[in-house]
Amino acid sequence: MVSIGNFDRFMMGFTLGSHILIVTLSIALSIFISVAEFLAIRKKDLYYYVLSKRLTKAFVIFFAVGTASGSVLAVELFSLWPPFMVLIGKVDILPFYYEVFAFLLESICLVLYFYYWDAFKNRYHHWILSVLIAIGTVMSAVFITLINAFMNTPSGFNIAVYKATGAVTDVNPIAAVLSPSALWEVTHVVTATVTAGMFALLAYFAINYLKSREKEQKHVYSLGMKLAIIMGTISVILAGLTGDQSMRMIMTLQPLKYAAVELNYFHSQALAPEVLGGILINGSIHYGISIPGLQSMIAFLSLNSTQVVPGLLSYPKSLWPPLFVHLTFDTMVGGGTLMGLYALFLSYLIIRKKKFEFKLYLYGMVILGILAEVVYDSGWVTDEVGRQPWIIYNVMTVQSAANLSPSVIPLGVAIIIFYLAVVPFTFYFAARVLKNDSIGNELIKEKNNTDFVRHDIPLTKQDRDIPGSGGKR
Amino acid sequence: MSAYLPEIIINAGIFSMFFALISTELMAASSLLFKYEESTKKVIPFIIPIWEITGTFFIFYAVNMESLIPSVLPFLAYAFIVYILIFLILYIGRNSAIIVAETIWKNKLISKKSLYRIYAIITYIIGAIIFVLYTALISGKGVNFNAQTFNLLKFVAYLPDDGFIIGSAILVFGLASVFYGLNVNRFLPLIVTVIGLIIAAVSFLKLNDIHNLYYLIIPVILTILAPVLYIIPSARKLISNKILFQTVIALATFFIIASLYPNMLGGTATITPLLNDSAMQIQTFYATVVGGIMLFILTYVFFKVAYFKNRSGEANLPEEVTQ
Repeated sequence: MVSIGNFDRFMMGFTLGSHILIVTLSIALSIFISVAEFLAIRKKDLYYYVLSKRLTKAFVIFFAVGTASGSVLAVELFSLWPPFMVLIGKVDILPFYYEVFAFLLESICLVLYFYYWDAFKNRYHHWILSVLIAIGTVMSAVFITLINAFMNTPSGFNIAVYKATGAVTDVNPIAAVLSPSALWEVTHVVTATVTAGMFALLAYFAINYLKSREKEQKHVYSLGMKLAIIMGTISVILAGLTGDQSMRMIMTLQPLKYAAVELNYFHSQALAPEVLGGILINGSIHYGISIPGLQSMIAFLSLNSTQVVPGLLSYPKSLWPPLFVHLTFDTMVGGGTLMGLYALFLSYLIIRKKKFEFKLYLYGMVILGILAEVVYDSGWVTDEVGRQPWIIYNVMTVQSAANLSPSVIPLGVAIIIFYLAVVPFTFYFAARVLKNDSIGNELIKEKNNTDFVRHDIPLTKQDRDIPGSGGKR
Repeated sequence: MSAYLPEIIINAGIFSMFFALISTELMAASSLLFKYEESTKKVIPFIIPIWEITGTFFIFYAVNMESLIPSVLPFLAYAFIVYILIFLILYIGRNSAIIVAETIWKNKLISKKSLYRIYAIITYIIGAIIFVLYTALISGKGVNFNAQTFNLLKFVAYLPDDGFIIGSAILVFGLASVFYGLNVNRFLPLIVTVIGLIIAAVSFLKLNDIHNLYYLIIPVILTILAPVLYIIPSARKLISNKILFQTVIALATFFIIASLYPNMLGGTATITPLLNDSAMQIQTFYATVVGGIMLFILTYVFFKVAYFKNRSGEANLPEEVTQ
């Protein structure tokens, strides 16, 4: 039978998992729309303009549902984990507080940006709003990640006194905000989120490019693909670099978590092997590939370092997190590497001014979008499950923080069912809204818009095969 | 008399702004339910640009509470968990209903009208939950702080609790016609508002040991002033100014909170011993000042674009939103 504490854990994980699906897209969309509108104004290009305007409709839908699911999380935090939020309230509430202002920046600017689209004669003034929206959206992610960094590496109060007596003393709110893992965790989460969102957008553009029959539609989607590839490639490279630094930080600050994600079934070891895959069964690792020395080489950037990496056997088994985090970690790293390689290949095609006419490339983009979500969620699971059994590392366990009221279960089940309906519906609805208002219709609506022009569309391979085609509308 | 601490004033200010926003949605809800056709022109263009901001202010208030009185969170979590979780489900429903209503295409299954009405009903229920929770914290009836429980039956059995909620609902209903300029008999808003005000005010006096009774004069005057000005044709334009009206609601709410301070739970407890550590309060104060300046600038830009460029105070909404 599931305990109430575990139910709280599942419910929190479920709602958070659903929320981040929406949030990855919201963050990527906010940046994407801003860049697209800037290019539209700069180049006076109607196609970029239509692209930014269309995507704003989807963004508003995701924002509306994302706001609600974010609010649910904010309230769940104190209703499901009251002792946790008491400690956060006394020591590390500032990031939540800062986040509210980022949220206000985002929501007020979005209202002006979307509902008063035509009220700005100077289009750069309108574009500035999109920059503020993107800043608000990204900063929200930064501040929320700062809370997670505190959960992983708590600081800013006297931990020894708290563990001995339960009293919160020597509070330094700024030190709590700037916890030891803050820098690398924030940079990794933000870049990974942008990556996941950009590649999800890329998949959307690729699917629609494949479905499109009209030249102008294809052109708009190909512009979208180019932007998503460029921004996705930059962010995936940054995510890889910051992820590498994050692992070194975890090795020092959360050695048990490191040992679990690397499946280091030893005390501590120099020249440690890297285990790819693998499950620990009766004290030995099965179904894994061990590459001698590779883990130490990556960790210390040296072929024969004498430094040791931490191992599981140095810690009591009762404190080990579930070891499937090793598999989720491998999924994140392996999948992320594949994504990075394919993104680099697509960027190479853009540099060489190649078209995405080859269907295999487009199917690859769709797979890339799906893989990005799997990789992103795997990373999140690795981080959260890897910290178990702690809600605040080495300070407070999940079980001791849980709300054990039986009332949580029936209403929690109702919330979960509600989410199961709302989240897929949001994606369906956003896609349907965009589908109903075709690009052709939007171009017709903008026929009197003198700020932007329909530039010549470059010839595609099919166009070149048609005698007399000039590649123009 | 207890001194008003800056953090308390800030908290009351945030709640007042939140209440000013949610009350305009509650007024919109009654219009959408009873005068839908008129609402498509007078109500929907107003609420569509602001309902997201209402949600943001709700979060602002929730986080401010978490920083102000973190030690109360376990009590709130255990005593009100049922209502909080129902509130969350409805909150997602509210957002989903209105965003779908804004953007839905013509179809045989569901119309904009139905979706706006779903939004209106959910908003009513959300408003009722907020009122129940706050009235319970004011009166303390049904609340056992030490056992961390809340008994709804005991709460309902105390007539002033019911009177305050019902009176407030009538009051909101009466003010809706003024705020949105609906076509009703011009004396009707005054009559309905006065009835609601009498029921709510008398009940409120019985809820708690009112610490600063004379503060209540301000919300009473402001509340009556709105429908009175609405009767006078030359003054109608003044009171139909939505910025002014929302400021009036926020001021009235602020003074109601100020009249109670520092009492809670029917005068059996005070809020001051529960306040957070001073180091955190100083930091949240700085954050509020910096964030408040940013918010002020954003609000100015919002009103400049939304109200002064477009004198009706309505969004230049896409046609499909209101059709």
